Amino acid sequence: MDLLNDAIAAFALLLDPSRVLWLIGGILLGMIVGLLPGLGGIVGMTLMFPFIYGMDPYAGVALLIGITAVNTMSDSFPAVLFGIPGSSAAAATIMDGYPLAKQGKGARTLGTVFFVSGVGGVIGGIALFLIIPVARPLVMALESPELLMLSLFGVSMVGVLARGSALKGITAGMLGLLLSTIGTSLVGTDYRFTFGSIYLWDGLSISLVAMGLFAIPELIDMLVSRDPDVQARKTLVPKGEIGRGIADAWHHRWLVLRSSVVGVVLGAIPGLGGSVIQWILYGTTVQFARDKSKFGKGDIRGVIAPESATNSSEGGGLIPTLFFGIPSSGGMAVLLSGFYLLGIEVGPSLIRRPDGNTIVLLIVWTLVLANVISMLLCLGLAKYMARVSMLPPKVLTPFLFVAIVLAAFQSARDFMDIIFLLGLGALGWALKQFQWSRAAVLIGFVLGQPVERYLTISITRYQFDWLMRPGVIIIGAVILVSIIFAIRMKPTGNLESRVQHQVEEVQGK
Amino acid sequence: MTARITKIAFDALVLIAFTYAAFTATTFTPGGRWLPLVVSIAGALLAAANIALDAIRGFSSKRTLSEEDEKQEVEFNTDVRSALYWFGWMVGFAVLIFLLGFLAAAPVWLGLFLRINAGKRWLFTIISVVVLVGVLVLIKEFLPLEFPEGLLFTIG
Repeated sequence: MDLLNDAIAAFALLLDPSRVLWLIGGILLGMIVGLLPGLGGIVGMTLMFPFIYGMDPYAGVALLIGITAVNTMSDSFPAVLFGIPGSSAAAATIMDGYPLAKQGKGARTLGTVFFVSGVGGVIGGIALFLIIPVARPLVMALESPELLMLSLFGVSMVGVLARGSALKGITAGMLGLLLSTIGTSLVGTDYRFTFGSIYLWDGLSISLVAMGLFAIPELIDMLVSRDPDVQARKTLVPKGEIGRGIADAWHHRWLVLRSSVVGVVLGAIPGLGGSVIQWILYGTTVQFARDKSKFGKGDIRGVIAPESATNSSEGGGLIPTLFFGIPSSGGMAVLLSGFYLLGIEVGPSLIRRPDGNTIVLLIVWTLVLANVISMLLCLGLAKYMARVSMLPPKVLTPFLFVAIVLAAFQSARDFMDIIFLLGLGALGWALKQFQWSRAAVLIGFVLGQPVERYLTISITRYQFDWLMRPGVIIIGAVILVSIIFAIRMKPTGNLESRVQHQVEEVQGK
Repeated sequence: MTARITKIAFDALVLIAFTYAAFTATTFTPGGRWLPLVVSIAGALLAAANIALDAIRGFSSKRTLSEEDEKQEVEFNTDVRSALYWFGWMVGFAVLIFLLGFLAAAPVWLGLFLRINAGKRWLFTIISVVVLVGVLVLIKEFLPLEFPEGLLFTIG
């Protein structure tokens, strides 16, 4: 009953007109960055960091969730129409979405995409709501040693499940943890890795690290890549087909439901992220389909499954992020940092707060409302969104770079911000080229401070006896087993090519 | 330099960074030493394992390098060249900001970029620059954001 009362209170908080406006503002920004190939929610959210500092926390939450929710919807736009994913989480949509667009069914496919994405997002929000009574007592029972191990579990899982080799993924997580130790230490009087620079005393800011690792490499790759297919641009005129797309989605409603539920479960596993989840869903849909003949040539089921799952996985991803303070993906790491800027500390601190339930429920409502509004906006603005995604990269990127530099400069308001942005950008580009997980670096960076805090508390309070606590031993064993298992297995990076190979085999039959 | 050697060189840089961090961490007070020391030692060990694996993979695949792999190596080098070109433009913007300040550097850089790289006509370029300056002035006026100041002179 308390939960229901809190839910009503949270909904009332969200309905404040200024918060709804911030939510819509976030949705519009998320929509634009989602439309631009390569950019995603991470860039959108970090661009907003200078503005949210000191803002009404609930309005800030609405803005950030708005960006996240719509991003996984609008990134499918270029994937369907041009065969270029707006973000890595829309790559599987190309498999059948692009062939459908080439058959003149682009608008119809977009209708399906936006509808199932919205439904998936709402299911993700409902799952987050349902998990509250279960997660709350579990989180309350955890103490610093277990939280330390859970944070390490988060870093290791992201590393293990990242694209490319597991060894590189874990090393990338370590790199993130090391970057987080730059600056004045939490305990003692050390200025660590500051090289005599006063600028580094406060450490690196999350927005600089996120923009450097994600925005700069994507901008460079956008400039290096070709423009979208000119021929495809001429064939996109979404007229009256959107409704038929929604009808297609309804026809496959059980697939939507099944994929959304699986998306929530997979999204809750730190490290999987939308880019892997959608390939898993696409692969399993092909595998279990009775008629496989159209997959890869334009089968709407190949669009429905990954799209429903990618959006519902955002709700799943919020479970470890909100309740345990462990971001499940790079996007969640940035979201978590945004919450810190708003004065909302996630994890057990959030659950123990008197208004903790209200905040979690506000996030649930925001996620649900953001998905509904995003779906309606995407369905209504499809024609105009097509124009944005048609803009050539060489015209878009200089504007974006100016905005990114301005946002980066707000970190410490020092010229060194720009130098570090470029330095981290070069590092991010190299990591991307050599297939090191940038998400693992970012999550390691975000978890660095909690890890050090929990480690210090554990040692101060229990000396080294904390290592013998049952929870610590169990989580430690899980970390070890997952690392060994992952190193012995084939790297996750092969998933994409394996699924594509599977489709080629089906077509060959 | 081939893609394989570049890859191993990058792994080696990561190893050097972790090793340096481990040695530096030993100079910190006990309270501030734990995390950087443990992380950098673990990172150095993992980075060394990466190099060994990359080297072994490279050696074993050297004799069976397919045409496709060779093509990929050439493409990788081409990408590096153009990526460096675009990165150079970004560095150029930073230099301009350092000299002129953000409010003057942004329109100058945008105009040059649109003319030289995007091949846009003067009219499009001028409109873009005017719109950018307008937006920046509005931001400066109404939002609590600060712009980097230049070494030579400051506008705004």
